Amino acid sequence: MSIATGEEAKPKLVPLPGTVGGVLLTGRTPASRLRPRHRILFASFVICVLLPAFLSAVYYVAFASDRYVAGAGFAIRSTEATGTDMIGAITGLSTAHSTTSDAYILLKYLGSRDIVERLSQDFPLQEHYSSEEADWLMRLDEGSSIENLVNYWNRRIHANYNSASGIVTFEVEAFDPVAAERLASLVLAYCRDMVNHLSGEARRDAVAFSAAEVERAEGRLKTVLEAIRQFRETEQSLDPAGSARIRLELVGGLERQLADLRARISALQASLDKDAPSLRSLTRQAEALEQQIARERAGMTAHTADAAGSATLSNQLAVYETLEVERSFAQQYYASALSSLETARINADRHQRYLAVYSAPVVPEQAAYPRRVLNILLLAAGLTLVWAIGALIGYAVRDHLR
Amino acid sequence: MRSATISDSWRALAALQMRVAASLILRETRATFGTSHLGYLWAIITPVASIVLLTVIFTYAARHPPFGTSLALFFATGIIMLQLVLRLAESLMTAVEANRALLAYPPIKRTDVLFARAILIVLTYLVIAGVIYGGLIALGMATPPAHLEDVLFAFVAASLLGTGMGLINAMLLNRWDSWRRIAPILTKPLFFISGVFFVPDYLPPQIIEWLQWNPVLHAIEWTREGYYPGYESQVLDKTFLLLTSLILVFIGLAAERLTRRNGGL
Amino acid sequence: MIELHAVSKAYFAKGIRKQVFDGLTFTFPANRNVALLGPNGAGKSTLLRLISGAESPDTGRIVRRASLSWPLGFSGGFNGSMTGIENIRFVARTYGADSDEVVDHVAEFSELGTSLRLPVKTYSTGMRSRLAFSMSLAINFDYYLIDEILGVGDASFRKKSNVALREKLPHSRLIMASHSMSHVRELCDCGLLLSPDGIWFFDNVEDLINAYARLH
Repeated sequence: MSIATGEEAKPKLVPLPGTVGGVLLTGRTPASRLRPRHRILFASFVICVLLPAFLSAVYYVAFASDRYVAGAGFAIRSTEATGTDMIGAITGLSTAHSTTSDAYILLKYLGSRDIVERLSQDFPLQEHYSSEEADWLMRLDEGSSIENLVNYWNRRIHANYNSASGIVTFEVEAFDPVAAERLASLVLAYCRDMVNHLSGEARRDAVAFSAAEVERAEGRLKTVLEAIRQFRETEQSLDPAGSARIRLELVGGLERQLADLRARISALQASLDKDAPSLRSLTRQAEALEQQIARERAGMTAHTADAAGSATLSNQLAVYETLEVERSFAQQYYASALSSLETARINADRHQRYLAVYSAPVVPEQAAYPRRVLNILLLAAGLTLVWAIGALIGYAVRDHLR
Repeated sequence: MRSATISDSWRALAALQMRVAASLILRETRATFGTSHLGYLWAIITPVASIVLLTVIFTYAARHPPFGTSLALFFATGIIMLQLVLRLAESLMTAVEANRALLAYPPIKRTDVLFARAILIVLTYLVIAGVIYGGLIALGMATPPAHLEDVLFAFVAASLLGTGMGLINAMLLNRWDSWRRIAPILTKPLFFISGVFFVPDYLPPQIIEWLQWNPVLHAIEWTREGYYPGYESQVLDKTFLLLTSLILVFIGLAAERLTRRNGGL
Repeated sequence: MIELHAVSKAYFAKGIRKQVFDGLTFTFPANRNVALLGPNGAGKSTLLRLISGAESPDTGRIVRRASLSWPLGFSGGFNGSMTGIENIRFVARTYGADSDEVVDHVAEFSELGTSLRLPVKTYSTGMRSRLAFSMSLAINFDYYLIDEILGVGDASFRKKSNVALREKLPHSRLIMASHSMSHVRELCDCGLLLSPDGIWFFDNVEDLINAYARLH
């Protein structure tokens, strides 16, 4: 074909390829020819996708050490039967229960420094993870700081919480099956301790207030009883009310006798002479009785204290009655505090939480990680995607040449 | 000989690409609010104002922040990400159309227009996020982010996601003009299902099962996990978010290349 | 140097495919100004857009080892909502020219005055062409691609632009689609005829014009 260049002189009609079949010759450059940019593209694909994928395949097939997994699943249960109510069922908020927060606490605890430190005491954690069994990529550096160990631990433990079922599951990775089982068992035991601790704490908290109340009531009752005891000691009277009654009975008896005497005196006065000896003696008796009654009365009510300084009977009675009322109040208070303590105890017992383990750690037979094929494929797919986007952008830039 | 051309011109090509991108970005800043004296500031003021307004409304409607102590911060961490994605998706859709006249200049390609707009929007929202977070911190309604790098990564992921959506939108609009009206309808529900005003972890699992397919939700969760010291999301799957974003970008770019020959340009 | 290698281009409009070029291979002769003649719809503007790179061929390659202007036509790439100056600055930046210099140059040459501060959508066709033409002259290109833009505006501007274009000619080449035979005679020394029977190259401008005349 060749339309071209100015060398051909003269009006020259150069038919377009396609219009005249025979002259089409060089009309089309083969579109499929491999161009340098295709080679660059291919090279970039090799460097960005094939090479890393190949290296990862080599690593996974030849070097990567098996990681065994042991785990457990459990629910944190409360002794109290929790019925899900309507609203809870719809919004899922019923799970916003104390066991839920306990589950979240456990999740945090599983990745915490505390558990790593505790594990290190019961198991050679650092030694196991930095042993020869682990390949160089997965191995923990020997003599790592506790922070590094915690970070590493967080990559070796996978914990999950399903808020619908309330089930916590965790998996621990180790480089041999026995170690995996041992680690998982330890972790499960720690979880149980943690829940017991949390539950005990909550129980103590709930009972503590009632117990303090009981203590206060007890103290008050004790004070009152002590006051009564002292009163009795100082007043030398066990029961001022009783002694008052006795005195009153005494006075009453005396007055009855006096009334008898007076009746007999007035009867005799009618028949006898005034100075009859019998009448005189009766009169003296009556006088003596009157004096005694007067004395007794004075002893009960008179304000003039006697030499011993002890209060009069009515005063004693007043003090005593106050004490008595105080005692009965204190007793009632004590009784109610006791019963509320009992209720609190029962309540706390009902809310007590415990670990319901449904799957305990077992020694794994097969290694769960690394997932060689999946990882290689995922890596290759991801790299291809990134490379393809890069290539498309590269082409978009290159389009400025077209 | 040809290879020499390509490698020789590589530097010139890069320079040309830079020039084109720069002049398009500058153009974009003028064209959107060209006549106004405040110019491109409006592009920052408007979203900030709308976010502030929504926050105020939301504050009075809800009272209790679903997480943390500041309702405004909780809402802001969600709405900024969502707006970034939506703005990219919507704005890239019309980028080619709005700049069609400029495609008459040979150095300017469809992809340049798209990239320029995407870059400008991402930069703009970077400033917007800075202004809003800075404002909240200054007002004592927020503390600085706990893990800035996570907030930034989430921002990058959301930018990729929005760019992917926008590229695909642009290609669909190129094909069907009515896509202009369909796309906003499809993206409207994102406001309600992306966790802007709730914590996904507190929802019933049956709902999460569906919501977790929404990549914007993951971008917001990532942001919150980065911003709040104690926010730990059970839903967040960074791989899913990044993979989705990359796949969308790839589909968008591939579609751009494949639809090019149809004389539409 | 501009080379077309097996360039094909087709358009779809309402489901109908129109093949404009099919395997066109052509090397633009060096140091010559090429005219493109042909009836409307023969593909002159398409060819200019393909050469400029504003459009990509469906298949085939176009090699350019020179700086090319955009196709200067009536439709020109102006963003209507931007002012003339903003459009000038945009183009200057895109082509890596000093934007202040270009603005000054265009302001002087186009004689648009204060209109440059108005959005381009308020311009008349003539004003747009002036702006486009002045802009392309303000930036130095190896090839100017001209799509029927000459002969716009009033007589004095026409004259001025002819003079300006001639001043460019010692350093730059033209590829020019035109219906004006006088322009073709004046500026070009060879040309392509895009006819329904195919695309023909004429080494001599007079032969080209004769062949074009015979088409009708």
